[in-house]
Amino acid sequence: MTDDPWEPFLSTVRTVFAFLVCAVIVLAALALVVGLLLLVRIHLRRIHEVLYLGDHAGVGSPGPEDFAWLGYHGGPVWWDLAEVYRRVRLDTGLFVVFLYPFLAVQAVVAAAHLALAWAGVVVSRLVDAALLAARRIRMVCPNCFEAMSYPSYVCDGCGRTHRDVRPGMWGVFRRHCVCDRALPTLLLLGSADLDTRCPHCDHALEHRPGEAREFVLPLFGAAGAGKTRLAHGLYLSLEHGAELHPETLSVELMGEETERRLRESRTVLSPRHRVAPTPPGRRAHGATLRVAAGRRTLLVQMYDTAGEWFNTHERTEELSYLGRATTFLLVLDPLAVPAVWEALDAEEQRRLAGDRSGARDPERAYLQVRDQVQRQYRTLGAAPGKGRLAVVVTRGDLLAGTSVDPRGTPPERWLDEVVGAANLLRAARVDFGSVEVFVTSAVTGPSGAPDPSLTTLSRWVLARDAGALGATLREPCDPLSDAGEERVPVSAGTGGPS
Amino acid sequence: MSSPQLYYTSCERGLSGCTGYQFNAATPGVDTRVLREVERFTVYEPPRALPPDEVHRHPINLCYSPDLGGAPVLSRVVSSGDDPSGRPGNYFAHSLVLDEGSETLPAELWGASFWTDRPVTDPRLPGITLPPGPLDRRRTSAWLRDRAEETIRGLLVSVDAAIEGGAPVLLLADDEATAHWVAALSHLLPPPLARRMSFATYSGNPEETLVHVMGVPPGTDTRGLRGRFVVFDPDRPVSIAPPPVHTASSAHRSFTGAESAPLHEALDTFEEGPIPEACPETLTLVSLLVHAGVEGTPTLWAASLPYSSGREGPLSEWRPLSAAAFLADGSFPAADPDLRAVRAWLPDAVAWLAPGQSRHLLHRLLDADPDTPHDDDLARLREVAHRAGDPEATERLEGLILRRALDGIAAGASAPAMVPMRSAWAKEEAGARIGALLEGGLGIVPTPDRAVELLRWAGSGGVPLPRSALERYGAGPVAHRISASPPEAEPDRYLTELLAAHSPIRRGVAHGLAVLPRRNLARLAAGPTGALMAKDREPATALLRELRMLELREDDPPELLRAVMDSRREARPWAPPRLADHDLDRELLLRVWGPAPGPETVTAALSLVDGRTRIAPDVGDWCARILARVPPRGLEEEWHHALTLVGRLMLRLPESCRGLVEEWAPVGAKVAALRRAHGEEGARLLVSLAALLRGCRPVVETVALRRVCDRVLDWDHRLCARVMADCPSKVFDSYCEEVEERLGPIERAHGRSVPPLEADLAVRVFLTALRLGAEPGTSGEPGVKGARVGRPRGGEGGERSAERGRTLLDEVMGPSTLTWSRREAASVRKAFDRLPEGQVFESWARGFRDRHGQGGLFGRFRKGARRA
Ligand SMILES: Nc1nc2c(ncn2[C@@H]2O[C@H](COP(=O)(O)OP(=O)(O)OP(=O)(O)O)[C@@H](O)[C@H]2O)c(=O)[nH]1
Ligand SMILES: [Mg+2]
Ligand SMILES: [Zn+2]
Ligand SMILES: [Zn+2]
Repeated sequence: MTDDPWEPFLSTVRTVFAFLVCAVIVLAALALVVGLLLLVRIHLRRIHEVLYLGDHAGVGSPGPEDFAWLGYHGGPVWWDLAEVYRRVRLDTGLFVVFLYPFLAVQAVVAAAHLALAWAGVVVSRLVDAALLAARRIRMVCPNCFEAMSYPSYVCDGCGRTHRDVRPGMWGVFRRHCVCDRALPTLLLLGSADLDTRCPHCDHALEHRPGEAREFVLPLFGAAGAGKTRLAHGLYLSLEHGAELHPETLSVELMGEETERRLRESRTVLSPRHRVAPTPPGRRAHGATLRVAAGRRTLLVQMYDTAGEWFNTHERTEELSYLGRATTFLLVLDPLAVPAVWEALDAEEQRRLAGDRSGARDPERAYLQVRDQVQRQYRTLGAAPGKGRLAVVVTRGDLLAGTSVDPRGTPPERWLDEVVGAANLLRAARVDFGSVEVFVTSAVTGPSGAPDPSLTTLSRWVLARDAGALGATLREPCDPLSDAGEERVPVSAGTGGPS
Repeated sequence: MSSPQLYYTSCERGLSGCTGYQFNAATPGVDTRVLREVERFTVYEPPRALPPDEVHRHPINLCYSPDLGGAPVLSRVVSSGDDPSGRPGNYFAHSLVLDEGSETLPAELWGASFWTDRPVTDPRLPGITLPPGPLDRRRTSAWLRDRAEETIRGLLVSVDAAIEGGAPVLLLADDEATAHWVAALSHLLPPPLARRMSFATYSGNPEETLVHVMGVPPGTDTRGLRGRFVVFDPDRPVSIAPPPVHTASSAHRSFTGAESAPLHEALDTFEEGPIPEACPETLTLVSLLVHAGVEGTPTLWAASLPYSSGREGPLSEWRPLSAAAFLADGSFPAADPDLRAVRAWLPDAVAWLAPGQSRHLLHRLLDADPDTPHDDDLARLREVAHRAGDPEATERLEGLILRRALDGIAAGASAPAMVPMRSAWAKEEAGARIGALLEGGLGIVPTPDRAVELLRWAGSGGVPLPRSALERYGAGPVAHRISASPPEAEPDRYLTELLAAHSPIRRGVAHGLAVLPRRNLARLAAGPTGALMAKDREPATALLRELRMLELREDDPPELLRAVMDSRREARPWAPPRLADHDLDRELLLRVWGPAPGPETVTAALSLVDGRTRIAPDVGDWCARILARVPPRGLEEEWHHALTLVGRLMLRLPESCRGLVEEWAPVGAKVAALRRAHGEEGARLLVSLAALLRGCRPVVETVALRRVCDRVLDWDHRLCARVMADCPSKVFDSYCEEVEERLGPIERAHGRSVPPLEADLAVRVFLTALRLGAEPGTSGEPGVKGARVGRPRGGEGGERSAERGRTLLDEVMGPSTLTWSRREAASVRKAFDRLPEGQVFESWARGFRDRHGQGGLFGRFRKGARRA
């Protein structure tokens, strides 16, 4: 061993050097950690500012077209991310690279949110659409007769109309109106509780479209044939059924307009009442009845249009609800038909002259409507020949006891033989899948109950789309139906398939 | 023109060919779209409250729409009981497709005799020529007499709003009353607006009746309609105090907007429903209409319609028309609101008004009240004046605009954007206004920043600036500000801009500052303020510029002098303040060259003088003083020149100086001759010169001798020795001085190279000294014996000559040799090479050095040029 005199000194130097290196490393590590912590703190602060406090001008107000705020997944999630990035970059300069992992985490969270939200959108829309399809719900505006894929809803906070509330950019389960009111996005979620509008004509829809199946029921026939009275009669027959069986059946007039039209049905059907003509100057409008039996509900839209509308092709063309219907009621006044009139004796003629309408040719209205239905079916792509037509002969009560009393004869034969409408029937069979003939008396009995012929007709009307409803009508309310037509109390209203 | 007629009812025979509702008959040629719309418009529903068969009690619906399928249609619909098939609720609508230009207002035709309610068999109807309607103004006026004014106001406001898309108006009144109300409204509203007002005297179903005003039978339950209709019950008037400020005397009374507040409060108290909010303009016009009454409105509208564009919408847009008509009429002074309305409207209206109309209104506006309009109004009115081709109004308006803007700026407002001005007159006016403002027109003199704004703004608009006012502004406030702050201080940026950009202000400032003491002024001129005028060509600032030049002395003296003189000369014609009386004076010369200049300054100064130069008398004095002094060596020539110049310029010289010139003349000539002469002649001339110099002024003597001796040094040493031997001692002294000068130490000036020692001269002088009889050995210790040089003379003269020779050697040449460097000494030695006296010189020089010198070791080492 050499006894180097420098050795102690060198070893001191080495120790000091080692210590310094350690210190530098420790300090550097410390600085790194502190720096990183600071950066993360900045990042978190920015996230708090932008996402939580919403201090971010980038989220523009909605355009003039849409009235709702974008849902978070509909854009703001990215804008917020970008904004956080922008601010962080401004704060940290080049050091932002150290934050990339954290920003990436934020981006991943955002992407997850997005995926979840859009999945929610797709699923909820699918479910809703599937439900509507399964329940065969198709919505038609009673004012403009357009089919709507979804109704518009009015915000109950500010009155703005939201055209399409369904899940999408603006929200998954709720959307936020610009007035900040949250609105449900689907019928499933209760949107029907809001004021509803037609997306095409902005007419208020008071029948809660979308909640129940809709059933379009056009009544047509020449002026004075008895359409208006028959509409009242149909309503009253349902009403009456509901009165008898309040626990199983309920009927409701939907909306002010319907109410105004049908509220006086009882007066209208009183035997001595004469109905004023429907002014052709008023546009046709569907009167909506909500008929419910148990869990089954049907929205019946009755279209009672003035007879003048069926005189010319130009006018019938405007009645686009025809193409949306499968069940049609052709109303005809037997007294107007010369053959019937001639068959009456003078005394009968004198007595019934005041009830005879002026239109001599019931076929005219039929042909107009048939052409129109076929044309509209074609444009809508619906299968022809699927429709049902009821030929409703009115004024059964007046015919009772005359020389052409229809009671006792099957209505179809009566129509064929007495009215001489064989051609019409033949044509109708060709044009429509099934044709029935009814003789109705749109009157009330002394007890105030509508004539059973009306109930019969109602039952037939509801049979296809809501057989159960029809069934509720039948059993208890109609003690006479089993016994046969002859026992109709007031008149010779007959019904049922012959 | 006749109006087509249409009958519509439910009948068996008509245009459709079927029974039921249809057009029973029509004047051929009516568009089917019109027919469809009429059918829709005339639907009649009898009142529910009445039995359907009591047809005579069913109200009549006279209804009108300005646009049914593109045409205005008036219909009268009556209930007609059962239809031919016996069904109840039939009605008959008799419609007229109105001619758009018809005079008769639709509502006037209520109760006209031509209305029918019976179907006809012939489907072709003739057109009908409308008679004047029974509901004329007289009748509506009578009808309105006992109605509450507030109802009319409320109705007018509501109907106006309804026509513009607001809620329709529902009158709880029977058909006849409704017809009267509607007729009254039609009579009050401007006819075009009245024609746009659709109405129905009866409606069985208000929600389906698409008109602006409709009647519903009294007692109808309107609770469900309140939100969507403005409901009036004219029979339940509210009592409110009539608005103030109505005087019955003036039919054309205009109402201020302020009055509308109580009216509106009153309207709000209507029980039947809120009256729509109306703007003050509308309320004012409504008040005017109510006041004019049904029978007064035709005059009102007749006067207003010429101003219409044909596109006026609501009443608020008609308001300016009525105001314009009133203003144009001019029989009453227009009130403020009227003026305001016209002012706001005219800029747009000029597009459709005839130029004459616009001009007339414009002048009326300007006459009525030129002072209150807002600046923007003025600018727009100016545009009107321009478009109406009215230069006079343009001028007036531009004048106003400029004046406003200028006053605003002067009062501290920021400068508005300059609008390009068309009228030269207005610009001149504005210039004058600026002048007035600068001189304190607003009660205070604007501060420099305001002045800068004013001038900048005016400059951008091409307004001619008032020179004299600027000058006064410069002389007053600006000069005051400058003199109040320390002379070295930088003037603030506004002052700087004022001074830099506006020569009149500089001129003014120069005048204003001229009162300062010269010392202060000079400091100011040398400072930043003076810098602003340094490049000026303005005569007024010449003094400041001159002071600045003299203070800063950036040029060498002659240039400086020339610049000052030029500046003075240029400025002189304008007689700026405190400009020196002469281009050149003693004071200037003293400032340029200081108190003790040499003769060369005289030359330099006088060479700048030409025939036009104004020279102060004291310049001669200055010259004389300089020339009376003996010039420093080397400047004799200059002195001579100066003196000649002074003599030639015929300056006014003091007596002494004139004597000097006279005295010098012969001496100078002689000196010149001598300088030219050679050999013996020179010697002779020297003698005569010496004689001539006797009694002359010392300066003459000194200069002459110096110039002569300068020559004598070049002479041959023999001749020189001869002359020096017996010349007057002054000449010899001068000679010695010259020698000393040329061989002796040289004042080393920095940077100047030392002229080489004239070795030949040294040789010549040494030989001269020897010749004069100096014996180097006698005084120089190891003298060179035997090296005798022939003397010119002996005796007393010889003694003096030897004495001079010694003096020359020991007192002149000897000390000089001590200052030579070795190289210089060597060159002299070399010059002696070829001469026998070389040895003598060598030994004399060494001896002299040993005796006198800082010889020794260090002396040997010495090298370089001669030193003192
Ligand atoms: N007694 C009786 N009268 C009827 C019956 N159907 C219609 N009427 C009468 O026939 C007339 C015409 O009936 P409406 O129902 O108004 O005929 P509509 O088809 O609506 O006629 P438009 O509206 O003009 O197209 C009225 O006076 C009715 O009272 C009925 O079944 N019995
Ligand atoms: Mg009807
Ligand atoms: Zn619609
Ligand atoms: Zn809202």
